[in-house]
Amino acid sequence: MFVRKIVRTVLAALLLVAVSLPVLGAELSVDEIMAKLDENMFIEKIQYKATMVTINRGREITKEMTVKAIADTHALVEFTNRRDRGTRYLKIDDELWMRFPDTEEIVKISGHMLRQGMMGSDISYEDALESSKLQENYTAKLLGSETVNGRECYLVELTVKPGKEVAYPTRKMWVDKEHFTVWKEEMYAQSGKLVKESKTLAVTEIDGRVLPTEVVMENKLRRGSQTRMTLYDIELGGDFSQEDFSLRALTRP
Amino acid sequence: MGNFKYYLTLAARNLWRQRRRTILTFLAVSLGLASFLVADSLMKGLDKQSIDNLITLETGELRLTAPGYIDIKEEDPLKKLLPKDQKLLALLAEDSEIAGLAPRLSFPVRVGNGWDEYPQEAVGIDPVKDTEVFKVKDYLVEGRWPEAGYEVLISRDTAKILELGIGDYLLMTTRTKSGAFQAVDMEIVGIVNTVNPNTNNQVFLPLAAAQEIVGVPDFLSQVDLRLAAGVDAREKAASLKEKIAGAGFQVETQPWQEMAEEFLQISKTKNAFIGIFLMMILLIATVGIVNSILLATIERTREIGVLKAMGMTEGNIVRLFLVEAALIGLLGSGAGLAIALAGEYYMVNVGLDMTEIIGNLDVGYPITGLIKGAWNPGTMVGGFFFCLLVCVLAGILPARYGAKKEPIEALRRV
Amino acid sequence: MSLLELKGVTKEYSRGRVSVKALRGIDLSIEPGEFLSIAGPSGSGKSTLLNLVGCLDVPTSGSIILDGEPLEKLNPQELALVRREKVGFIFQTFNLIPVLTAFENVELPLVLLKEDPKTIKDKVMKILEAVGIADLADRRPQDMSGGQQQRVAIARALVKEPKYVLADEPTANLDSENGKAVLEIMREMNERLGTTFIFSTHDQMVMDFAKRLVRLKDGQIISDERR
Repeated sequence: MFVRKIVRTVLAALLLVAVSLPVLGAELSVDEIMAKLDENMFIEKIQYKATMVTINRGREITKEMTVKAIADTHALVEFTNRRDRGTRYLKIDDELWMRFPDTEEIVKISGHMLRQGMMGSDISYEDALESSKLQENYTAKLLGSETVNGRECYLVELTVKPGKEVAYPTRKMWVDKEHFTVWKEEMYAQSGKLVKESKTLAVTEIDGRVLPTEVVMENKLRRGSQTRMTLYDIELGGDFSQEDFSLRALTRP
Repeated sequence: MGNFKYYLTLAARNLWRQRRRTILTFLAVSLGLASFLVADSLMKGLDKQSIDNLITLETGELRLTAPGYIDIKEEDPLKKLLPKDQKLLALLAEDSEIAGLAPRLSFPVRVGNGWDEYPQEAVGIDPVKDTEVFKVKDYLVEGRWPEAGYEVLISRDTAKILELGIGDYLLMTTRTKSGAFQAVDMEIVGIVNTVNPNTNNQVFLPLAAAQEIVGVPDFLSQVDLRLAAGVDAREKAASLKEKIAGAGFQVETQPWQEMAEEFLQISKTKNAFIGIFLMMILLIATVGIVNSILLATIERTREIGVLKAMGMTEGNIVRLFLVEAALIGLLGSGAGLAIALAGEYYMVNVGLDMTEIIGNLDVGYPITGLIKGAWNPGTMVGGFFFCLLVCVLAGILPARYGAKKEPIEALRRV
Repeated sequence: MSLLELKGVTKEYSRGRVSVKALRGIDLSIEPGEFLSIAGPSGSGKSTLLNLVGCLDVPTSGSIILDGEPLEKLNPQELALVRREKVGFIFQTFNLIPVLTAFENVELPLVLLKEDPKTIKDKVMKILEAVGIADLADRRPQDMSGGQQQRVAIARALVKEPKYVLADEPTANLDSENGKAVLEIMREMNERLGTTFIFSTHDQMVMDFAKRLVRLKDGQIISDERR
């Protein structure tokens, strides 16, 4: 009994080492890094609360929200701070709707409106809508390794694939070699000018995943302009399904 | 006729008898008519100048665009572009009815200094050809016209707001045709201050740079045309479209009248305003006339009695007072016309400096600075007769009131 | 046929709630060429009677027949035309039109009758000569004495050769000398042109001038004497 138990434990430990060896040891190919990244960021169901602080030339605006999402296809955001209470966003696939609490009016956000900052922040609707499956639109290239926040990271450069339409033709990502979280990301304009920079300030581990909980996004074209997102009360899974993401859900009192 | 002469003598002498009142009414009528005519002249001048400014600074007389461009211009102007085809340009250049052609590529941008940014329209221009159609260059206040590379010309207002000057770099952000973020530093080489407020929201850069920035190397959003003298833009729009289609190109042609629609709408609103102005002046004239005639009938109650005793009918008495009203109207309108002629002469030749009056306000008019009047002979003739008619009509009621007086009642009063 | 025939003429004025009976049944017949004075104290109804006879007003009841035509059937417009053609007026206060010269004042009745300018000029100058003020033709009333003004008024009343002239206290605003002169002119015209004169007065001198004197009291005729 005991022997069998020990053997099983050892075997299990060996197996674990075997699985994690390539992670800790040998360098991964860039495609593998991207796959891991996608895998870590792909969450079946999530709900959390968040605080968004936008600083523009010394002025701070704080907004509170609750978010529910299914994978990267469905999301419902509701603002809870006093000023914006009742303002809701609904995302289904590539479409976005907004509901104003005062007029109870639903507006579809499309075209040029998608390029504006969401609720006055440095995060555009476009940024918020972007599919997490980066490999569809970009060709990745491993530039090397760098340390960010004391963590060993892969430095990956993404270049838009011909014929694909994206907001940032070039991006650089610093991906944690162990947890496959992005610690830093730079987004570039067509001209090669740095447009935005996002940095992860804190992460948390939930159900074996390491997720960023504090991210700051800086607008590099406007000095002194940045948005800080802090996530809390994060819960993976939850008692909701795709049916809960509908235009009706947007107007529900 | 002898009869009428008698009425006229009587009316004229009675007006002279009450000359102070007559002069007041006369002034109300003449100044009213004159100020209306001069205001109308100014408005017409404003229209003419505005349209001029619109054409020479913004739209050209005729615009060639890709089919469907007009509908999507506001949404995404890079979606429907015109190929910069040498054959097409040659076709336009050969047309004797076209005096100048300016290929342009325009798209929305945000311009900033690193701290602030403002939405503007970037206009890629052919540094040489653009001046064949537009007069933007004439309004250069500092520096020079952009020639090549990432050089930009901005308006004085933009320079002031962003606190930038010649030699500084303007941070210009936009999206390329494929939707990618684009941010470039443009060297400011020139500053303009045109009389068209809309130009103040544009930045001008060499066409090649513009094409490169948004990633459409061989495309244009439009070719703006200046037409030879006497060529009607609307007719040319139609004939040119056909001619170009014959050469195998699909284009849309838009005369300036269509592009100026919004402005012409404002112009219409403003005409309503002129209408209200006219009403007010007529009201003043009417009150003046009614007052004059009414007081005259009261003062001359006894005379009315005498005249009725002599056998004048009510109609005769009404006629007598109407001749008075018409006389004031005639003199007032005549003088008003004369004043207006002098005033308009001044407005047409010297003009009114609006900057001194209202500053550089953006009032939805493609105009700032000096406003000149335009002659309005039609309004003058119309205004003269209308004013005269109003005076006579205004006299009817009080005249009838006066004529109704019973002769014995009238005579009893001492 | 009588020039004027009054039958049972009454006239009431209502002044607010009070009704004043100015005339209480007048029967009077006036022949062409008469020089008649209607006398009586103020309030006796003489002005009212004159207004009725002058087609300036209509009776409350009774009938006035002028040249065989009853006046009460006429509307104000028609009455005006009757005045224009047949009646001349002379007023106590002269009532010339102040902005017009003597000539133009006298000219007015003829202008209303649409006579041609040459006829008008001849007639006006003739009548101005007749009343003795031809040399004042171009003067305005304000530049004339009372007597001169009343002569203009007489000329104005007579110039169209009316069937009859009504004169309401014509001498009341004149001194006795001028008053007498005016009366003499009137009588001379009566005799020369045969124009009927009807004038109201309470002046003894005027009554003495009259060829027929009708006295009124309280709206009724109390005497009617011919001399």
